[in-house]
Amino acid sequence: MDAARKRASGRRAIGMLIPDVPAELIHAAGFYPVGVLGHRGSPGSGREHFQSFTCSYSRSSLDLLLDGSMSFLEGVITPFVCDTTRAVDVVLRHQMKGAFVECYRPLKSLNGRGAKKYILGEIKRLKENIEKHAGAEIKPGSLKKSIALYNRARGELRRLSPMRETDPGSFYNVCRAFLVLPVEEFIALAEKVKTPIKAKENGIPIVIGGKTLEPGNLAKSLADMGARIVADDLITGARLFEVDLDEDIDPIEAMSDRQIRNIPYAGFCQGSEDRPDYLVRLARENKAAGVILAVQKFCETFEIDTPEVRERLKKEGIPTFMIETDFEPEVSGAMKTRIEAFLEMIKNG
Amino acid sequence: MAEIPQPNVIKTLRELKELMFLYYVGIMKDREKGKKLTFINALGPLEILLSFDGIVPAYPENHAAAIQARRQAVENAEAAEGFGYTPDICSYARCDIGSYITGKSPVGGMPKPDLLVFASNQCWTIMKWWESMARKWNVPYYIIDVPSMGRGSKILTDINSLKYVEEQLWGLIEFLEKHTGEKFNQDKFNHLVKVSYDTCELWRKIILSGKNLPSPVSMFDQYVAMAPIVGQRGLEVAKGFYERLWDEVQDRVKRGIGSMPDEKYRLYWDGLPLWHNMKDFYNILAEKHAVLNANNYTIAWADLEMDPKNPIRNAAHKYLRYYDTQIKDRADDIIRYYHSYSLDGFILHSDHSCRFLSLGLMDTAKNVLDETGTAPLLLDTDHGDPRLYQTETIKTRVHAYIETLEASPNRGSGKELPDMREMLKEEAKFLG
Repeated sequence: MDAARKRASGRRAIGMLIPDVPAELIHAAGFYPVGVLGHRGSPGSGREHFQSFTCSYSRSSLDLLLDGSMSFLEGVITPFVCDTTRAVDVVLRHQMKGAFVECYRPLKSLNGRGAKKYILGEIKRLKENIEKHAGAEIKPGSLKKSIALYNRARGELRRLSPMRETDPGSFYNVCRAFLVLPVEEFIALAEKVKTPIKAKENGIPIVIGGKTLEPGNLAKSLADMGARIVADDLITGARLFEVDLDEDIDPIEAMSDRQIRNIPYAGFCQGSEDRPDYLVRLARENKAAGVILAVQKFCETFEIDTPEVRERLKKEGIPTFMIETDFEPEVSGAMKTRIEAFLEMIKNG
Repeated sequence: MAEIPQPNVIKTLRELKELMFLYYVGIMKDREKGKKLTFINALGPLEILLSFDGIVPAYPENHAAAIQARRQAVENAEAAEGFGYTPDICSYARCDIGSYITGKSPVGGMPKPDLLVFASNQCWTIMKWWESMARKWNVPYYIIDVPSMGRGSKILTDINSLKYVEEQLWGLIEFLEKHTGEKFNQDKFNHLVKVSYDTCELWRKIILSGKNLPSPVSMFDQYVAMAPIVGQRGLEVAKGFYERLWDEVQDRVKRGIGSMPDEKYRLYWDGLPLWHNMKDFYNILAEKHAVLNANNYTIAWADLEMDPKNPIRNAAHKYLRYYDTQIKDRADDIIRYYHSYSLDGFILHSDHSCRFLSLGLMDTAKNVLDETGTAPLLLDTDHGDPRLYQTETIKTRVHAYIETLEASPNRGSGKELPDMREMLKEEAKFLG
């Protein structure tokens, strides 16, 4: 968070929990949007508000927002994507008196009756509330500029995505930087990085399914153990950059359209492609030898999603392995052993 | 050990054995006749489903609670866990899913559904639970997405959300028309709404009778009595049952009969019941002559009454506003109960596998303490997983809590405070 704190000096910053809060709106209103990405240290003041059976992302994010670590924020926007994120918003409203505490309520059923009209209205509502807080209207021209900037940043992530195979630890840090740095600075830094050369076919090609890839060194550990990450559906990975906003249509419509068209996420149902089908397709198209499902402990959304996803992958003959993850400093020895055993099993066919 | 007083039994509740037997037999028979077995969540729009002759609604949550009450929870939960569901997800979901693996169920097992309907005025969990069934059995699934907006949080209803929910309720009618080949019967629906309204009102009166001293009904009585209001709301059979129950409750009030003999402590319970250990938990409380006479759970079905003048719009409004508690509003409700139900203390269920009802409780408890001077007990256990319930631990905590109440008595005033529902009713009238 030090990087964000330094950059927030002299700027008005608003935090965003993950996933899907439209950063373009915050940016177009003249704020610096900062992703709230939790921490990997010992539990802090979040414990005073949430019981131990809450996911470590939510609890550690509450720590940061309530213990002063992110005091440079003048507000925070929480996406309602599960019962826990809804409760995060409730606690923040209660605790961050005087701050701009807002929610974003995306669709649960992506293609349901009235879905498109609703999500358009919801993004307009959020825009109006950000405007009220900013004390100024978001001009369509500013919004279009912000959308173009974020699309450029997404383009940079896509350009760098072969790095996921060669140096996944660094690649997912770049994804985190996309969420945390000012978008202009992110683009400038990313543009300095040479386009990675696609990895030679060494290492066991693996698809990663899940919300976030934790602990912090899990991506690097996977590479060290001989896995080559060829694709993912992470909210701190591919969900950030797979789908751009359409710059040729009304900006609000472009945002609502991306919310519906983005790659599957376990928190939303009935999109154009079901998540198990999507993971099968990712595995096939990228010639993956297996899928690792990284499920954060106490993340009920993914915990309920996973068994049927595994069944589907099993039916397709795709080896699948589930690991229970947490926001913590390092991959445990036990987890390493289990992953190694899975990779060994794949190698031996 | 102190002598444990047995409850003054409400005779009408004895009817439930036959009533529930016929209910489940009815489901199986209707399914055999070719009606579409449609799973719906506990707070879903039952009246719409019942207006179709070709639909037979059923409740996996009720089924799971029955499994838990009949002590079949562990083997079913373990079967689901063996399939890959973690022990941290909702124990209703685990028990119901597990029963399809073990075949163990007090009703002989629920058949696979033909249709799935979910209204998200409850938790996200059920949306995913139903989705797993839709995936497994390739069953058509209709979701009524209710954007969370905060009940009674001094804000006006978001009209965009209201129109969205309303449109989806009309969409449900089309979904059912498509899958049954039937035309929606408006007259039948209107009749169901009227009967449902009357039934919900009876249920509300029964719950509110807990304000009397002594309380003629306890939470345990309500848990036993609630199955028809969940699954048969809108049908004469349920209305008749609650009419008889209300008659008996009124008689008990007249004669001063309390559910708990020699009632001494009056407590509020927040959250889902402990289906797996009702008797044991009753005994723990009864040893101290404590009655649970107020709660925030059973009232949910009284609040489902739809205004017969504009039922779909009214249901949409209620879905948005009544079931989405926030810390302060939840505390305000508890404080209101504290006074109107003359309470001595509060037990808040910190429910391991129900994040929807448990997160935020720690802040709610602080608010309640600040406003009443009595600290609530936060009780860590689970609504449906008996492995997270140890009698001795629960007993020690509950008895220690009651002893603190004994040391510093601080009963609520017995006065009525403003109810947020009145404000919401006014808003509903305005919205039409």
